[in-house]
Amino acid sequence: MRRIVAARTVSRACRYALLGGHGLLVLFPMLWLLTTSLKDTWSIFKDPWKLPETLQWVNYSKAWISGGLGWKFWNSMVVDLVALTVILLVAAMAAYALARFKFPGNRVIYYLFLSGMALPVFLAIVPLFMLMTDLHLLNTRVGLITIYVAYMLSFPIFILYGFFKTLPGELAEAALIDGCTPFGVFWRVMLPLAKPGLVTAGIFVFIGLWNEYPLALVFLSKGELQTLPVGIASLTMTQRYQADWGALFAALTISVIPTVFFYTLFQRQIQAGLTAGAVKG
Amino acid sequence: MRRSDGNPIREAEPGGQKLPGLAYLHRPSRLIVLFLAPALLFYLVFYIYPMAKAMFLSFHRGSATSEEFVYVGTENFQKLLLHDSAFWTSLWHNLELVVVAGTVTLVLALALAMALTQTGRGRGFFRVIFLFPNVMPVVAAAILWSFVLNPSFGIVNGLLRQLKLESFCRAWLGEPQTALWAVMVIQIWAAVGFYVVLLYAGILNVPRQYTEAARLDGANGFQVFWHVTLPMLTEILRIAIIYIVIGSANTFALVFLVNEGEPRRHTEVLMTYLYEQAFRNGNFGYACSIGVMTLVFVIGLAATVNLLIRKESVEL
Repeated sequence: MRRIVAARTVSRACRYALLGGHGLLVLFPMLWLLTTSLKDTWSIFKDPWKLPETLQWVNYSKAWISGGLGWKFWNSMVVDLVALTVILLVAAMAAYALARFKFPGNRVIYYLFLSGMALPVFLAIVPLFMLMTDLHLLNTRVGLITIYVAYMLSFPIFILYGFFKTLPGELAEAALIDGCTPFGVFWRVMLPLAKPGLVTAGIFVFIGLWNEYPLALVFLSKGELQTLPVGIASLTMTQRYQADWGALFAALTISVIPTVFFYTLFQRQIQAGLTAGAVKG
Repeated sequence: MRRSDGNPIREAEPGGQKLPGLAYLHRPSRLIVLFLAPALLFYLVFYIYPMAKAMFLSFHRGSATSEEFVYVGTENFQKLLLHDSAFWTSLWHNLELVVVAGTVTLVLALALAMALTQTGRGRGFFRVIFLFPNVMPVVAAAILWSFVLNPSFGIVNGLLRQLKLESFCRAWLGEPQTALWAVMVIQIWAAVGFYVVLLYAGILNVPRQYTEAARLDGANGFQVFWHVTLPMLTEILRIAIIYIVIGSANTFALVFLVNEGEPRRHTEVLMTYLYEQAFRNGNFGYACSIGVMTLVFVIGLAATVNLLIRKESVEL
């Protein structure tokens, strides 16, 4: 009996060592980023392990104002929120039509949309670049938003398709009999019922948009319109020469905080949504 | 967060596939067209059409400045496969990312997920923080790690110096021997949380009576895992491997920002090479053929994985 108890204690210790060890590996670089962002460049070099002696909040104002991060933050907000709204609306409409109506080609269109999740992002980059040049949409916000809508439709369609499938048909019928137009059924009855799906899809799309780098690099590299990831990347290049490392660490912290905060707020939906494609069913 | 290869998709239960009321009373065809049109327009014009055109252009020679693309047959592919060592280096690195980093990611994720399911206190906390690296921008993760591994003020070398192990200090991302390994460490760090969540959900889905029956028959913890839990995770593991293949083929920001494939080509991957050919050298046609080969790489690997795992589950 005692041996069993001892074995249990050992296996428990191992479990916590594993979980705690990995937790530390995750958190430590992030905490180091945070503390280093409050140090001046001299002490960053002198002793990377030491905590800041006086908190250099000035790093943040330097990054935000003279580093131009405030502008990039604003640019990201504009592009991502517009794209998010369009994506959710367009995806909800398509998912509704695909999930609630039978018509020839239904399956084909559904799988065509889904295939968008598997193809390499850069496969089409050259033709897309030529297309955007021809349309005079290169280095414009409208151009990047358009590309984002096209590239990020698949996942919300997939999520919302599942939601619309499960909604009871009687509700729609009742609304129709009460004189609601088919469009009204979608807008007033079905869409509000699919709200949890919209939230899940919206969170994922937003995080994806906020973090997106390669497409923004190719299609919106012009300085004053750059989104945050591109801005941070180019700031890293320039600060390397000016060697204002404190401001750079502060800039990096600013770019990490929104998604980490947002994720912590919605982590339940995110954890559920992550496994939606693979586990459920 | 990219997902799915088309296969893992399970549909929700059909709640009302056909709505007689709708179909009969209000010709739905107009609504269907109206509702599908915007999504299809965006998707076909800015996604499918460029994909198709990339395949078309891969048989052409043309640059950023040239007006016309000249049909050259399979010239691009011949050059790529027979004379371009940079392409093979990149392809090899992508394969290493799948096989080496992918294996470590999955084994680590499996261990963490198992530990999570058996843990009472702190489970929620660990589940939340494990996903931090996945939700932060890849750009931020890449730059953060280039600082962590920085030869002069990074904490890794800092720690080695404290421990009087100065001889082990390296410019981890700058030296040919260590650069790719360092990239893989970052890749694993940034990816593993997602697979923990995926496998954790899968383990919770294994019916209790199976594991309990095995326990009653005298199996120890490891035997239960090996003979009961793991076989029941085959399907999820298959999906996880496909995600890893797709994710590795899309690796760009990490390598591009950490050192842009420097030291010379030692961390080059397919996407950074494609970017270089397209936007530094202006070889548009050639870049398209790299894209097509990447697609072939993804499809080939995914098909192999499907074949191997299907075989495996038949044997069980």
